[in-house]
Amino acid sequence: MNYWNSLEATITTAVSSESIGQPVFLRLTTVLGCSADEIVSQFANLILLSSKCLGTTPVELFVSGNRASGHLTAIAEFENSATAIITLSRYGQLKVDLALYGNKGSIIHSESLDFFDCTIGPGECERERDKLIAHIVESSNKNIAVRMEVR
Amino acid sequence: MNSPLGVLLVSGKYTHQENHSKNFAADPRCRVVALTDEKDVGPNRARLNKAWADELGISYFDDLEQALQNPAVDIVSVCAEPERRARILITCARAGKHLYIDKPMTPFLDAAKAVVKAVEAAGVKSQMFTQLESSHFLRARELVSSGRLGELLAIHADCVFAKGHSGTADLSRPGAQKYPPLISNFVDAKAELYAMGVYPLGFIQMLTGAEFTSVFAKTRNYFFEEHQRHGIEDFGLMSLTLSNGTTATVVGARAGWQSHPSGGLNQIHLIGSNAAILLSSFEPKLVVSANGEPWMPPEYYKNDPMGFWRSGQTECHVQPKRDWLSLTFGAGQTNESHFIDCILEDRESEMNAAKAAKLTEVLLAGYSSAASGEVVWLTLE
Repeated sequence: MNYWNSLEATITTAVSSESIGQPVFLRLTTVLGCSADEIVSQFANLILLSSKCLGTTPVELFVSGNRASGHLTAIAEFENSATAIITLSRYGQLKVDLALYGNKGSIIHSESLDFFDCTIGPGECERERDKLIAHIVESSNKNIAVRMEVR
Repeated sequence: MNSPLGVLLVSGKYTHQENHSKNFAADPRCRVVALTDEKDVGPNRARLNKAWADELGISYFDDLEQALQNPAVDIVSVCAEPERRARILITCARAGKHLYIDKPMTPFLDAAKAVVKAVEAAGVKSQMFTQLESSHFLRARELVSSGRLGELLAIHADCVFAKGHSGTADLSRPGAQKYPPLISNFVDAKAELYAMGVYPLGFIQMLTGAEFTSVFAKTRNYFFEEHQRHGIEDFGLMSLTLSNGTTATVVGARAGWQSHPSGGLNQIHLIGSNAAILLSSFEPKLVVSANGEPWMPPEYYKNDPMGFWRSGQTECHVQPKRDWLSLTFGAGQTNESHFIDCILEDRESEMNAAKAAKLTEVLLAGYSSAASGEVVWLTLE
């Protein structure tokens, strides 16, 4: 199991134990060694990961940054009104910092990724990811919050 | 100027004056002279003011205008409620007094501009309280100015206080942001994007020296029934662009006593073209594990249920969290001593009234964006 799969499984287990209550917001800050061509698809993967951690589906996305800048930032709102800030940079030491706040507690995680297998594959969500990529590009190009259809 | 500098306090107990006055009193270069407030404050505020004057062993004058005529006063530390703060600051500046200002300076843009104008006309020094002497900010400033990170591409900064009894809100009823926002200090709730978000915004302003150019923000769901009942947010998120091309994100929030092993998430993530680093007010730290009872939050305390004020926390017997011991860096100077330095060295504070007014504008732009769902461009008209 690679790093991301393990992270998702552990968070999902922790959230389902209900010790932190219902997820309210997520802060996910990452530095990943992806190429310029990969940055948007990797960012879509991070939004999908966030969605799984929060146990819900995104309904609105505002993205700043682009492939050229090597840095992307999103503010996302989810179906249950949870919100998230998700960021990805191509520069610096590989790293993830995560803070997931439930209404009764939080999960905090900070890890250097230099020695982990942290590739994010297309997995079973390829169609969702392709839709997200389109929304990311639209939001960042037009500088608007994009509303997304709920599954 | 007097030597030591005379400090007049405006508003007392159950405000941040509890912290500021003690820090002024601890600096040998100044002397706390008296406590005062506007003549028409209500009986509860007057009682709390008198209580804090008694605590400090100083006189309480119930007429601000009269208190300002005292030639022993050089500085006024103003912690009146947000709605009253700007007009008091203007009165004090016109009296030729240096201004120490609780954060944020004011929730009204016109009032913020009027304070700046009054300060400039009077030629007095001003400083709004922020965490500019905190160790993680000092490290961030050192790293940015060293050039080791390369070009600064992005800053992500958070201030999430671990205080209050969370988990009480009905999450099926998310908030709908109104503009202009309701900014008022209720006993049990404050607008937290405003009250907490000002810290990370100040960090970004001071680290970049750049102007904020656009804001997208969101306030939505709640941790606390109290905030939900008052219709004010207990957390907010912002995505910002700056005039130098840097992008930034900010979280300002209050998330509950047990939401963090220590005081809460207080961190700055710097993304440079050469390196990235996360700086936290709790890092580096020692983790202490020991026999003994686990930390427990205080009982609900009706006078200060969110732990806003130092005396409220004392009265409800909040115990310190002891599992994390942070290593501190820097000279350990207080914000108040920094302001004394600025006055004595005749230089402007990095967080003077003009800078504080900019932060009022950014916060208001954030509320406007959260209400409209759209990007708001600065400057606001």
